[in-house]
Amino acid sequence: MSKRDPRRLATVCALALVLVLAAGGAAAQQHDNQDEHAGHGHAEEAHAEEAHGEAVDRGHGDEAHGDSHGGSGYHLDNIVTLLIANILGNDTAEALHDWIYTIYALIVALIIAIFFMAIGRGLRDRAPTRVQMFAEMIVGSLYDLFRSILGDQARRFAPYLGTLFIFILANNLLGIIPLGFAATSSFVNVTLALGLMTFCYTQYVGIKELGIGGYLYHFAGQPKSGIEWVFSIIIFPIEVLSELIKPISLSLRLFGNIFGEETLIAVMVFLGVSLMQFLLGLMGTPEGVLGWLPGFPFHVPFYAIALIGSTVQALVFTLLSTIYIALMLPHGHEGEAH
Amino acid sequence: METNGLLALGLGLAAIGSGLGLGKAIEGAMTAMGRQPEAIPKIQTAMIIGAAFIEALTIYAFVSVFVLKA
Repeated sequence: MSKRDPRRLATVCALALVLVLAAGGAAAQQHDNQDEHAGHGHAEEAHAEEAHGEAVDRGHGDEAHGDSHGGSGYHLDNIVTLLIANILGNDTAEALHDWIYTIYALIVALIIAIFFMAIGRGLRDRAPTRVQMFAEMIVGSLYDLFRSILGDQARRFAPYLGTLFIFILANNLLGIIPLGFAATSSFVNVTLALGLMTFCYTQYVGIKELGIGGYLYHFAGQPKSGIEWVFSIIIFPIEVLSELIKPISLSLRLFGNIFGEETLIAVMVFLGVSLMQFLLGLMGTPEGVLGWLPGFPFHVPFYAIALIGSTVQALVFTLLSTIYIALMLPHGHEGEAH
Repeated sequence: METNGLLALGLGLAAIGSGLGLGKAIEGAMTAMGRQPEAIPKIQTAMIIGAAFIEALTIYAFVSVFVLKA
């Protein structure tokens, strides 16, 4: 473990953050048409929320939300949406709805960057603090992981890949903080930005390592004999296509998994609330009190599943990025690492 | 409305396929781990990547369900 690693990681974190936000913002602009529906659905739902005066979980608003959404699916309300809707009014909430994930990504990235910068500043060789041990454990195990795939090259790519892992993990875990946060990765804009980042970085590495000619040669399947050159005509478009599909499959995998977890939790919350309301309604609880009561905690076991899933998905995204980079490197096909 | 039912059915079918694939993959990985405990980290890495690829198929089905949902 070098002394400088956490500091470097922090710097790259900050850079990656800027990229993510820029890409996410661009994606948001393009998604405007689709998200407008989501915004309306949300505003409607916010009305329902206020009318019910729900404090902890959402009840009937959930149903209206899911129905009006169509393609966009469930998202539980979080602190930012609730605060904005209640303090600044629904128009602002609607306007800001498209940027919620950007706000969260910003918060997460700031926390990560400040955490690692603070550790990087106060590094001690002797008698390291507990926090420093923790950071060294993170960086060290990530580095070992990358070295098992990239071999000696791992040092070059570890900052980017490590940042990717930590950022994605933090974003996924944000969703399972109860009462108020949304997993940033359950918005396709964010995961697409991450996927595109890996894609661009991989192409950059490929061109830099192999040169333009070698880069194209790599896509042709590295033909050597005459017959292989003939087949490379078929192989070339397939390789190009599979390269283009990689970022999409990367981002959809992350998005689908995290979105699925969030949806599951939202559905379970809805189930718990509606069952509780039904039972209390049978017992004759007055309407005014009903809206303030929390539901059954059916969603709690799914937090455990979400915890595992978040970690695994962050790991998978990072590992696949590592492998894509390894495939681009000159001897990637031989699996030099092992 | 019946389209939604079909979508749910399709998602279930996709999940069956993924489940079979995951079972097969993890069976192989477990056997390999039992035979060579010293290679567990490498096998685990490969297993997780493979599992992610298999699982991704269901996730694609899941995403398309939400895209196509009436």
